[in-house]
Amino acid sequence: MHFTTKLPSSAAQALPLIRTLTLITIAGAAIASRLFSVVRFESIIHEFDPWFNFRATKYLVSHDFYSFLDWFDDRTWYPLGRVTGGTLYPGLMVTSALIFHGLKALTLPVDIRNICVMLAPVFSGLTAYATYLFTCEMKDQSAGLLAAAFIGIAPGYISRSVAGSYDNEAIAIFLLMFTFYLWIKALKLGSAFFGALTALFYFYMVAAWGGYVFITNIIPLHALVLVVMGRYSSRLYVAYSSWYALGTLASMQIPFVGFLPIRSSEHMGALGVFGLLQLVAFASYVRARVPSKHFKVLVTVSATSLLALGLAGVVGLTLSGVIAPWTGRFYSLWDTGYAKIHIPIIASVSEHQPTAWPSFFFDTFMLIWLFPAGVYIIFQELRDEHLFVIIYGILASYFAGVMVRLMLTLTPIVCVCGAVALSNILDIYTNLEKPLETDDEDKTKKEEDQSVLRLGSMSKKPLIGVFSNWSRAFVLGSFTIYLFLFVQHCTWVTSNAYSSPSVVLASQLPDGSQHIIDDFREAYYWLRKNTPEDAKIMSWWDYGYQIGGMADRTTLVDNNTWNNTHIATVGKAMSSREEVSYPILRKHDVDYILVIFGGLLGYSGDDINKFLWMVRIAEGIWPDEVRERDFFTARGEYRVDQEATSTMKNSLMYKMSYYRFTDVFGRQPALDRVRNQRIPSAITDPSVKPISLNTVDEAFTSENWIVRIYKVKDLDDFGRDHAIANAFEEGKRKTAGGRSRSAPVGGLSKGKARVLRE
Amino acid sequence: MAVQLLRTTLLLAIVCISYVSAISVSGSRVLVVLDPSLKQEDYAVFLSDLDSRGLDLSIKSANDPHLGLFEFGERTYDHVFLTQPPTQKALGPNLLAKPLLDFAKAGGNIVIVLNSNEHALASVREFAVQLDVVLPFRDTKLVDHFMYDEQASPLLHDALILDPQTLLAPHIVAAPEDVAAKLYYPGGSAFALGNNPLIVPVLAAPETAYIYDPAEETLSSDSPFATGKQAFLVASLQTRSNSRITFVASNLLFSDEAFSKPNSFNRAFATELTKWTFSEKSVLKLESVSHRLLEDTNTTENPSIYRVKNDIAYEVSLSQFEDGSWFPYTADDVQLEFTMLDPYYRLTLSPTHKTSTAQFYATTFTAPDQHGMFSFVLEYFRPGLTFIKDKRVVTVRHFGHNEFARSFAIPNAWPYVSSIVVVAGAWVVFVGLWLFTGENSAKKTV
Amino acid sequence: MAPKKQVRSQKNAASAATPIATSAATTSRTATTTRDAPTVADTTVIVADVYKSYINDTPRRLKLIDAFMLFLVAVGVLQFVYCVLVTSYPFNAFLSGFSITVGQFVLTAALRIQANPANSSQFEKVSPERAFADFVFGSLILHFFAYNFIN
Repeated sequence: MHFTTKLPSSAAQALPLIRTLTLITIAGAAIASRLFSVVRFESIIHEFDPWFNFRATKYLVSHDFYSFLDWFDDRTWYPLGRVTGGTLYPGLMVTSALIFHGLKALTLPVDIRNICVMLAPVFSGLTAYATYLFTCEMKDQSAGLLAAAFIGIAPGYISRSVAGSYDNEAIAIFLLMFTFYLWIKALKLGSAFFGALTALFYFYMVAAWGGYVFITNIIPLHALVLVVMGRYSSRLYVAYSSWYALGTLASMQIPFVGFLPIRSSEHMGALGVFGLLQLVAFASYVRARVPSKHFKVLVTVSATSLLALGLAGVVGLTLSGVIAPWTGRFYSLWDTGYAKIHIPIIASVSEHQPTAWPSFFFDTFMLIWLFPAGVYIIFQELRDEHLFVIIYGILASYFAGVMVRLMLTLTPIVCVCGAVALSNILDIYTNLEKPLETDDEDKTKKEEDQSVLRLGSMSKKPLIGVFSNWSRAFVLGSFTIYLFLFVQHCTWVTSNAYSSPSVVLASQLPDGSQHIIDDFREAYYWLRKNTPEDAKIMSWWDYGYQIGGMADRTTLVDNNTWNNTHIATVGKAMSSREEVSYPILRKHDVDYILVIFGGLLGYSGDDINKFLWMVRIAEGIWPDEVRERDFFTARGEYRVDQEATSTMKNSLMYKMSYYRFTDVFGRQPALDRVRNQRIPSAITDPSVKPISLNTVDEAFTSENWIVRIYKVKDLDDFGRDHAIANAFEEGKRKTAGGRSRSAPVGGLSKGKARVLRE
Repeated sequence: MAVQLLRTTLLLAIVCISYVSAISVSGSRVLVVLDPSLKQEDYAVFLSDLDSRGLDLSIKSANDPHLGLFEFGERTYDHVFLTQPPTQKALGPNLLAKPLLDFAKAGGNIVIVLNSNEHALASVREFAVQLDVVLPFRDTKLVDHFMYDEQASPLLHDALILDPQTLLAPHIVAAPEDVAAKLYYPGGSAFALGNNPLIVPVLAAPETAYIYDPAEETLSSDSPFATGKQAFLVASLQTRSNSRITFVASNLLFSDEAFSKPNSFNRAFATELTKWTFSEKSVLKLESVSHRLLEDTNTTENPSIYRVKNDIAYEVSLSQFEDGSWFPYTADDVQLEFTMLDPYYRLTLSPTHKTSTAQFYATTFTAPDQHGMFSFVLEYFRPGLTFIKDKRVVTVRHFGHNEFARSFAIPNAWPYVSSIVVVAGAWVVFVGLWLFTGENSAKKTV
Repeated sequence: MAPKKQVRSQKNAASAATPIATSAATTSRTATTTRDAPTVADTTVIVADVYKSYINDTPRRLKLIDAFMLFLVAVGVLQFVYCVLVTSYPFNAFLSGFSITVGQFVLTAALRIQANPANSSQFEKVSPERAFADFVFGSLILHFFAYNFIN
């Protein structure tokens, strides 16, 4: 690098090579930093949704593409089933399958699981490249390299793309950035070719992630702002028209999307802008042709009438139901309280909660304060493409504030703006004769973090600096430290916060060694080995995908929460008394119930903590039968100890969680370590009746009690009530002699009923 | 050990023999627990009737130390005929409520005969309560001042003469054709029944009868244990796994004396009742179940997946066991439900052809326009007949992407199809013209 | 590569010898007449002007494009009328049929803009040849999707 600054001619030749090398290094770093989980645990699919994607991918690999499209999944949502092929975004699975078949064709047979595990890191490398290209369009290559480095290790993006996190977002962020890059390119060049490419990648994006709506709205918004600012150009027309015409038709090829692009309100903006652009283009033709006097008349009359017509059309169609109104998920973006009131199922997901402020800093570190600076710098130049960055930045900031999950879309633009700001600073403070090379030097500096280079560059500056070398040294030095801290922070966050597969838990033993808690897989494999192939497992929907993926058993509900009523049914079964739950279980042919219980170990993500959501969702459908209020004590506390309400204590979920829990403690107080409450124990307190389960049998409890599986009893052979049968089995004899002489009062009425029956 | 082994082999041999002779679908080993107070001679006709049907009787006393319903977890008998001692004695640990319930759960059949002189034992009472049969209190008698046997109990009126035409369960004991036939009830109490839906009452007391306690002398009329038709003399229960249990209120019903009365229906009644309880009659069997696509008869039967709006053919065959062999069972009330959470169809199956052992029933229907996991549910629950339950889950899938009508096939779409063709064609022409037009020079032809 | 193309496109512009005069497509004429009813007298004048300048000043290639676009509009309108009046039953068929005309129309319009020598200043890197190649590329994609979607 030093040579390049000193020897400009050879430097110019070496630059592309260095740039390529830097990019490769960045991609390598991006991939490597995502491998913590593989190194620490194993090559395993993480969390919940990835298990479904993995299962779908396996299906795709073992069947052909068409049967994948027509896939009707009869192992989930029993007994409704799920039209899986038509309700998923196939992009991810198809990508993996193509890679799989491609490698096989190259005689490199790789296990499909490993492809799925490694897909996200590999695509994060590509994302870095796409971000580089995007930022190059915004500023220059030095900023591009910086942005690539940032996005490569920014925790906000890593959180969704560690190895094993095989989710739609893994490839979607790459597609997002690349589509944006192509759009900017198309806009700059006014090229229908790039417009068509944008449409193709938009198609890919539509196939991969529901977040494509973001693109569908941000590009028209950009176009609209350009038009309103009087920046309309034929280039815009070419780029936008070719993108919209092709992209919309293409997006309708995805079965899950179908006619949405012309039917739902989310897509109306794009259509409107398309129409507007046609008008503007037409008007600009006419303007050139017609004397301005006529033109004005023409424009005012036609513009107002058309606008009115269009608005009336959209409103009318929406009211008449041709165009679907905004979906609930969309409303919840505008009003954060909306979901909580109207769609508890959405609100119940932790990643749909509003973002806490520290997490902005946590996920992007110093970039979050470089971000406004970058926006400001961009604002000063304000070319067409810069407007895009600003719009993107504003929208994404808002959305990220509303939903934790959308932090993901914010991260790329933060990286881009941060890189622009930083490279601007570096440009100024390392202002040499040859700005290009300095830029290059700066970014490589950042990438490699080699203090030698930095020292070298700093030592150079005093030679050239005209004024205040100290301030240069100070600024550059402090930013170097920041960059160091950034890398350190990212690594720390990645390794500590985002690399847990959540299927396997890790804990530290007192001696510092790692202890793996593998209850989930233990239980799922128990199910796989010990239950009939067609057994139906009921659990809260969080675990549906995992049961399907790991235990290969039929589930009632899963993480694809498409049917709220069915989920509410499960919620009702869990939150009701046994006598109420049992008919529900029978009706749905439930064989086993699986509950997650963390009370023994202190695992806080258990079902008792999620229980209120089950209650709320059930209450949404059966407000008369399930009431959230009944689960709180008189003082409004959510208790599980002896002060718990009787509704709580009699709910199936409570019973299944704490069944025989106190036995473990013997004469010790039975402490629930998650809620820090003492469970009433019959051993220490004789007045307490131990929890008895009549309609289900405990079938399995994992090592640390995290997973408990219960088998649903069949109807009693002798037509008895389960409670009576159970009481008999437990030896609590019901003595017939105990009945009083006037017992047949009941018998009398029964006898009558019987006579009637005969 | 050797003795045990010998016995086991012997039992095995007996089991084999019994299956060959097949008097009952569940086996022919009967344990008759005859209380010493009941003389075997008094019931000779009844016992010999049982014996002559091919049942393998082992008559034992409740005090027999070798008495056991189970050995090594296996049933040692197929049926139990249990009488009660007249005094309050225990029946021994092997005949408590729990072993009896376990025995029934394991497929054994039980006849409980109450003693005419005494109230039931605590263990039997407990067993009965589990089945929702409420046994009478101690020392009570069923009396009827209108239909009593004038010879047998001129004073007490506790020996009744019943009309067998009032029998309640034709599948268990059918009413005799001879209207003059009488059913003698020489004394004893009666019991009440609870709400258990599995209970099938067989014989109820006359309307004018009531239960009363002679020891109290006065009639506690405000709360008699049971009166009229709420008092039952014989009731049966078939468990969900098709074990059969029968309660008889008095042992005297089976006595030689009752058999020998004029016009007595008792003997036939006893025979039919034990036949039913020992699974010798009214036993149904689902011979075969099949479903398939209607149009192609040669495809595999019972596919696991259908498509919405497929035409489905469903066929079952039913057999009935009677007198040691299987016959076709014909009825017009066999129904099929096609269910997903709720029935989408409830169809009555129509009898089609029959073989020597089975009657076939069939129906066809069109799968509803709703995808999901549907069940073919055949539930044939008739009092007194074996419960037939068959549930087969099949998947009904949606239309595949290539199963919709193509646009070419829909006349409505022809304008659109042709427009695409026209546009594509015009495009080709346009491209050609464009290339030929060159730099503004060539002439324009469109 | 890029500079060469620029030169050529400038040459085109020179040879075409058209001033700023961008043509109003024939469609504009009908639109004008209908929308601007109050000033009928003006309108006829405008239309006459427009028509004259169009005939005189438009390169032949652009006329060819205009003819094609007119044809597309006709097909599109026909389909739309058919859809509204008769049936929209195979909705996907209507969509693909309609959107192929719309898509083809905008692509052609894009080609027209790019090929118009008057606009070459806006498209520094897009020569008419490149524009045509883009057009063919885009159209092929469009036809593929439309064909795929109709079934």
